[in-house]
This record gives sequence, structure tokens and C-alpha cells, in this order.
Amino acid sequence: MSDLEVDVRQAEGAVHVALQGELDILSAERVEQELRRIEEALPSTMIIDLRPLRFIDSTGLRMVLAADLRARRDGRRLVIVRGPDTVQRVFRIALLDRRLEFVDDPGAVGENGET
Amino acid sequence: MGRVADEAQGRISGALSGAIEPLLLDLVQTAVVATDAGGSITHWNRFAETFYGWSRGEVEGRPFADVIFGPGLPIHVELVARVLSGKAWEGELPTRKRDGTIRQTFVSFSPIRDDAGQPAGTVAICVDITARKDAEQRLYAQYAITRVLAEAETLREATPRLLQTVGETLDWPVGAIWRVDQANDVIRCVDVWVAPGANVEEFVNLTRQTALPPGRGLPGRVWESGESLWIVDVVHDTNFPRAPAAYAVGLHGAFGFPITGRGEILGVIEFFAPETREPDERLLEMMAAVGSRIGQFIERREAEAAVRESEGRKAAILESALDCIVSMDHRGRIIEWNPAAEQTFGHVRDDVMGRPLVEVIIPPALRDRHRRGLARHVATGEARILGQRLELPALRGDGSEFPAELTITRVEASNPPMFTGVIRDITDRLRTEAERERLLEAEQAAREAAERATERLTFLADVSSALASSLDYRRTLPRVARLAIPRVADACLVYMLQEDGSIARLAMEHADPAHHAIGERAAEFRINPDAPEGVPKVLRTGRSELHPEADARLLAADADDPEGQARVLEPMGIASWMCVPLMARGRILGAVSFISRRAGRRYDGDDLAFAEDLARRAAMAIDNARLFEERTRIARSLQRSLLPPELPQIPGLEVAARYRPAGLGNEVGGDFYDLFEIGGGRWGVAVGDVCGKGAEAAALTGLARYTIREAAAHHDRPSKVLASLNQALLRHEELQLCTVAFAQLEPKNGKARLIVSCGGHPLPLLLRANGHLEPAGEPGTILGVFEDPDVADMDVELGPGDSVLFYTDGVTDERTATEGFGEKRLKSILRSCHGMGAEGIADVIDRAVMEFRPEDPRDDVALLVVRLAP
Repeated sequence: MSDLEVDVRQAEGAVHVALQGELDILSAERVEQELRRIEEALPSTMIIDLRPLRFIDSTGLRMVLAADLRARRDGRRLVIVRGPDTVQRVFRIALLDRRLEFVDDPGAVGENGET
Repeated sequence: MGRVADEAQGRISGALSGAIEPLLLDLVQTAVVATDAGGSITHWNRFAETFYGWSRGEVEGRPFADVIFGPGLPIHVELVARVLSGKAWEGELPTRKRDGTIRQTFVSFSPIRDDAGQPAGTVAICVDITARKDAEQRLYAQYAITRVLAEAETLREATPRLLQTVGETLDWPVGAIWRVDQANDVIRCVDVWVAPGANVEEFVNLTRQTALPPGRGLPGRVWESGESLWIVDVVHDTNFPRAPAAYAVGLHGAFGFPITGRGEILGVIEFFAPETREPDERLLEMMAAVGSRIGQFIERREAEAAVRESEGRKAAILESALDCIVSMDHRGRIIEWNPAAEQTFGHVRDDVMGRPLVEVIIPPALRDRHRRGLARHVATGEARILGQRLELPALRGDGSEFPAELTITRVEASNPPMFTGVIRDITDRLRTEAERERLLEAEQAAREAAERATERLTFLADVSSALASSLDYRRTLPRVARLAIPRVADACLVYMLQEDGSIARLAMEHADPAHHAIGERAAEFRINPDAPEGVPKVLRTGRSELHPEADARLLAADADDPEGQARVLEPMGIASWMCVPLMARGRILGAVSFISRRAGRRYDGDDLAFAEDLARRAAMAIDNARLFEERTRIARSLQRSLLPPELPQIPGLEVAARYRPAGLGNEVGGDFYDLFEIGGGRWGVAVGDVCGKGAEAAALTGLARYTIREAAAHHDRPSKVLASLNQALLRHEELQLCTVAFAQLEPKNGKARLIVSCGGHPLPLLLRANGHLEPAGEPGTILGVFEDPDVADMDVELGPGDSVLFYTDGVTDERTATEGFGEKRLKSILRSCHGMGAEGIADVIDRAVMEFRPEDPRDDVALLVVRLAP
């Protein structure tokens, strides 16, 4: 019912997960399961790419935060590629833009630890 | 209908023996009239007052026949005398309301007797059956029209019967048909029908002579617009040239509809009634369908005429070009052989002259018969075939045969006799004939299919409107079953799968009333939910069952006693059966069973596809109804348990709140709001959103609200309150998130101090009395994730007329970026609320949000407005 597609690619030591469509109450759980499955392979860096995302609601936000908590617990780096303004606004309101690692360009991720 | 009357009668029977208890009668939802021995009204219950429009005081003492029949209806003198003499009677009669409208009623008269047993009056119970009668008549009219069109050869033949059928069955005593005259750009009356006894000669004569340009009069307007038209009273219509004549003969109500074919208007049919009539959309819809059916009829006849004409031309060509002329003498030897014969038979003249004709052109198998015929004629003069056109196979020179038409004549005054035969190769003609037959058959089949399709579309439209009439599928499904009779089935049953896995029969309809009893006896058998065949199989597999050939044993296969139920069903004469599942969103809700008794109606793949379409619609309606019930139930319980039952009254402040739950059944978001007294003249205002769903969200909402209330009593800074909530959320093992805007409000001397703190929540919006708009508060971290959230307090001074809007992100849901509501739009709408009260602002925003919401919104919406009295 909800149109959200998850596209997973391996990219230079990081797993790149692009979310396309609407991340909301209907799709968040499915995406979370997918992320947990990817995490089982113990990647050192996970990139969640929000650029193709059209919409995110509080359930989607919770899914991203849960992934971040798991990453901190497991000692994994989680990088989020900023989405369009309607998506970023939700992070801005929750004041998460300074709590999570956001980048504009996933290409820059592998080189240095922090941006 | 009799049952309704019986019930009413049952309820009042006790009161009939002596004095009638008026109070009791007033409770009956049926018109009840009682009279004395002379027929004067003594009692007139409350329902009669509303139904007929006469008050009790106005009718008491008047003869009842004058009141309920009144002017314009027969007053049934004999019937009245009968019922007053102590006889009971019941039946259908038209009765008249005070405003002159006629209602079809089922009237049941029961005698009243005095203590000595003598007739002392009558009690009449009148039940309104107009709607049923109308529907019956319309259905009958549709069948009658179809029959007229199927039987008629020409439109000229069909027209008077069409007008009569519609006019008589639907009670429109004058009807006319008009054809478009393209050459002169006018529409002309071609035929008029008048009900026997209607005295409208002047109007009819004028109508027959009338031709109208497009847009003029009733036919001209229908012609121009292509739409049906209803005129309540033609006498007062400004665009009805025949108004004076209509007035003179007393015609008022009218309607007209187009005859459509090939995408254009071929003509118009109009009808008139002696009284004004209110527009009847259903009738116009039905007539529009009739109009296109007549159009199809005209097209079909024209197509047939065209086929006949071209065939005739072809025959003429054949005649001149291909006729062979062959003559023989009395011994059967060829004496004439023309060029066409040379070409047709492949023998040159010189080769065949003098040879026996039989051997040249007759195939060996037929030669003996031919020789005997010739010998008999020569001997006796008897002629069986002379002058007749015979079709027989003929032989070519190369030995091949072809179908030929042969006419033999005896050459006049020849003795011994000579004969001339005209022979024609009819291969082409036979082929043409076969082709034409095939075309006609195909056309006939196409027409029947089109008619069936039209009927099905009408049926589906009826079904859809029945389904839409109520959200209670326990009421709509029986109506759907009723509509299926007799159009698609002789019996229709609806089954619902119950939560405990059993199967319930929700509705059962039979075309033949005699079968109701059979159906009811069959329903006494329980359905075995584990039966390998029948309805349980459909419910198990979700796949339809189609049995073109069916019998009672097949239908009874799923009963707990198959043999017993088969014996009960046997007399129905079941011929064919199909059963389709009611499925919505992958869930099987029930099944619909269609039974046909007529051998002529064996269900096929087409029927099944249609039944499945029907079932899909019904299932969707059921599913919608269930979702709606679920949504309503959840929204109510959520509101009850998680929102303040009502907002407190705060002196000097106006407050208003709105809450709209998400529309996905049990998937509920967790928006909440709260307004409570902290103490010391301070109030707490909270609007928040817990990020979860269902029961979990509900629990979290409760936690958030009570934690805020509790913490507000102990901390004087709202940011501290949010920090407490953050700690409470972190104590949970699972990630529990919440966004909140919380404010402390202290009204004093016509002003108020507002301290706002936000945790990951949209900032409240402050609308100043002067129209200026600004956000209140500073962005803060979402709660429930970090030990050290950034949450700040902001002090705001509120003056008289200042308003603050607290809201959740459901309000600004920007899911569809182009149409979404958005923060900007919210601000501009709030600005437009300048000068309004708290309730007004809440209303405006709520309405604007609802306008933009999808039908099944995924996020809920909460908003709260606080306004300082101006």
C-alpha cells in the first residue's frame, strides 16, 4: 500500500541504503527489519540515503533514531545523506540536525571519520 | 405489506373491542383511521396527521372517504358500504394527501362492533407503498419496452406501442414522438398517443402540426442539449409555445428525453400529465436509457435495410451477366446452348449439341430421376417441375459440381415438346446469403449482448446506490440480494463468515414467493464449515464456483444433512449455480450464491465475471463499513481515554481544541493535547505527539500526559517539565519518542504570561491582536532519545485579543508537496483569522486541514487555541 523502495548497495567499505518514496507508519516497520538484516553482516559504516525520500513522519523519524542508537551501541558509523527540504524539516524541528551525522554527498563518507 | 398491516392491527386489536385508546394509536407508525357506523371519522392518529396533512380537529366528523380519497380519486361507494356493514377488506388503493399528491397505499379495513355485536364503524390502516409500486411499475415498463422493440419490425410500428407502454404503466396520459429533420433543421412530431378518456384533442392537433427549431419548446430544448428535461408546469414555462393549448385542455407536468444513436440525437419523446409533477430523477435516468435503446433499434433497422438493398443490386448484376439458356427436345437432346452456358459449364456449343442434356449437366446420381421425369411428362403431360425454380447441383465439363438454380419451361406450341432451361450459378448468391445470415446473427448477438450489458450496468448502478445508502451492510446486502432477483438469479443468498469460523446466512431472496418457504426450511439446516464442496469451499479458497449444470444435491452438499436439505430443495427445480467470494484487501468476508431455475439461463463465464464484479463492489462496501466502524470506535475510545473530557473554563481566557484521528482503523498515531490547572493561578497547556501506533501509542500518550501534569506541579520552568518527561521515556527499554510543546500560562489583570518550551515539536504560533504573527518558543530536541536534550524556555507576554495556536505535525503534513497543507499555508490561514475567537480559529483551521486530507489520512491531527479575552 505504501510506496517505499529500499535500494541496498555495497560501496567502498560502507553499505549504502537508499530510501525512495514515503517513510511513514505503513513502511517504517518493513524498513527497520531490512536495516536489521543488513546490520547482521556487521558493516563498519552504514549510509542511509534520504535523497530519494519524498516524505517522512514521526514513525519514520523513530526508525532512523533507532538505527542510530543501534549503531552507537554496536560501534558502527551511521551517516545520513540529507533528503529534500520537506524531509529535512522534520529533523530540523526535532533538533536532530546536530545530533546525527548528516552529509550532503555520500561520496565524501569513506575518507575521513567525521564531516 | 400485509405483514406490516397485521402488525399494526395486532398492536391495536386489544383496543378495538370497546373504546379505542387514542394514546396507543398515536404510537403506531402507520396511519390509523376509525369511523362510526355512518363512516364519519371518530379517530385519526398522529401518524395520519403527518402522513395525510390533515389535523385531527379538521377531519373529525367528516366522512372518511371524502378525506382519504377526496376530489380526483374514485370514492369507492360500494367498498365503503361494505366495510361499514361490518365486513373486513384489504387491498391496494390510491389515497390522497391534503396537498393533492396521490399515494399508493395498502389499506386494511376491520369492522368495529358494539356490545351487541352490531357494526359500529370501521378501522382503516393505511400503509404507504408508493415507492414499491413505482419501482414495480418502472421495472415492468422497462421489460415492456424491451419486448415492444424486440417484436416490432419498424419504428412506425413500434412507436404507438412504445408511447402506450410508457404512458399506461407510468401514468402519463399523453405522449408524443418527434423526429429530427436534418434538411430543414427542425424537429417534427411524427406520432401522438393519448390515453383512452383523455380529452386533449386541441393540444394533440396542434402538436401534430408543430415543427420546432433547436432550443425551442420542450422537444427543441431536448434536441439541442441532448439532455432529458423536466417541466413541472408547462403552462407557466416561458419556453413552451404550446402552453395556451396545454392550458386549454388541462395539461401541466411534462418531461422529454432524447432518442440517441450514432452519437447524435435522432428524435425526442415527450409525455404530459394533467397535474403539476415534481421532477423525478430516477424516471429521467430510466428514460434516457430507453431513449438510447430506441436509437439502437432505429440503427439496427436502417442497417438491415442497407443490407437488403445491396443484396438486391448484386442479384440484378448476376441476372444479366451469368444466365445460361439451354434447350432440349422431347428426347432430352440439347438443341440450344448459349455463350453463358459455354462459360458456365465449360463445354463449347458444338461439343454438346445433340447430346443428352442429362449426361452433360446433371451429376450421375440425379440422372435417373431426371430421365423419369422427362419420360413421364412426355407420356402423360404431367409436369412437376415446369415453371418452378429448382435448386440442384450441376456438373461442369471438368467434372466439378456447383449449386445451380434451374427454371424449365416448355417451349410454347411445340409438339413433340421442347424445353428451355434457364440455369444460373448460384454459388455467389448462396455465399452472400450465408454471409448475410451470419451478419444478421452476429448483429443479433451483439444487440442482445448490448442489451444485457445495459441491463447489467443499470443493475450495477442500482446495486451501488443500494450499497451507498447505508454503512450498515446487514441492511444493504439483503437489498443487493433483492436487486439480483429476477435479473441475474431466481434465488440469491448472501453468506458471511463469522469470527468463530461458522457461516451465517445474512440474506436470502427468491423470485417465486412460493420458494420462500422452501428457502426457510432449507435454512434450518446448518452449514457444515468443513464441507469439501459448496459455499465453505468458496470461503476457504477465495475462488468462485461456477456450475452451469446444477441440482439440489450439489447445493445441499455443504449442509450438515446433505440428503435432507436436497429433498427440501428438490421442488425448486435448480438448473444452474454460481457462488462468488466477498473479498476485500485479501480477506474473505463471505460469499454470494446465485441460483437459476430456468433451463434457458445456464450461467457461463460472462455471468461469473459479472457476479464477481458485483461481489467486489459489495465486499468493498462491507470492508469500508467495517473500517468506518473500527475507526469510529477507536477514535472515540482514544478521545475518551487520552484527551481531557472537556476543556476547563479559565476566567479571562477562551480555549478551543480539535482532534481528528488517523483514518487507518487500528493504526492510530498518538497526538494528544491537555489543558490543566497547575495551581497558584497557573495553567498548563500541552500538545504533543508520541511516535508509535495502536495500543503502544495509547499507553505512551497516557504516560506523557500524566508525567507532564505531575512534573508541572513540581517544576516552575516548562523546560524542566520536558526534561522530566525525557527521563521517563528513557526509562523504557524500547525507544520511546515524544514531541511536545508545553506552556505555562498565568493570566493576570487582563494580560497573561506565557512560558513556552518545545521538545522536537513545531513551535506554537502567536497571533497578536494587531494581526502580527510570530512563532512562540525555540526549537528543542525530540524527547526520549538523548540524556541531555536541548530544551529552552521562552517568555511571552500576551495582551488582550492575542491568540496562541498549539498544533501537531498532522496539521502541516506535506506528504504531497504540491498540494500539501504546509507550514506557510497554515500561517497564512491563521493570519486570516485575525479578530476571531478561539472557537472560530479552531474551526477555520480544522476545516482547512480536513479539506486537504486524503480520505484515509495516515496521521492524526490535534490543535489547541488559547486566546486572551479582548
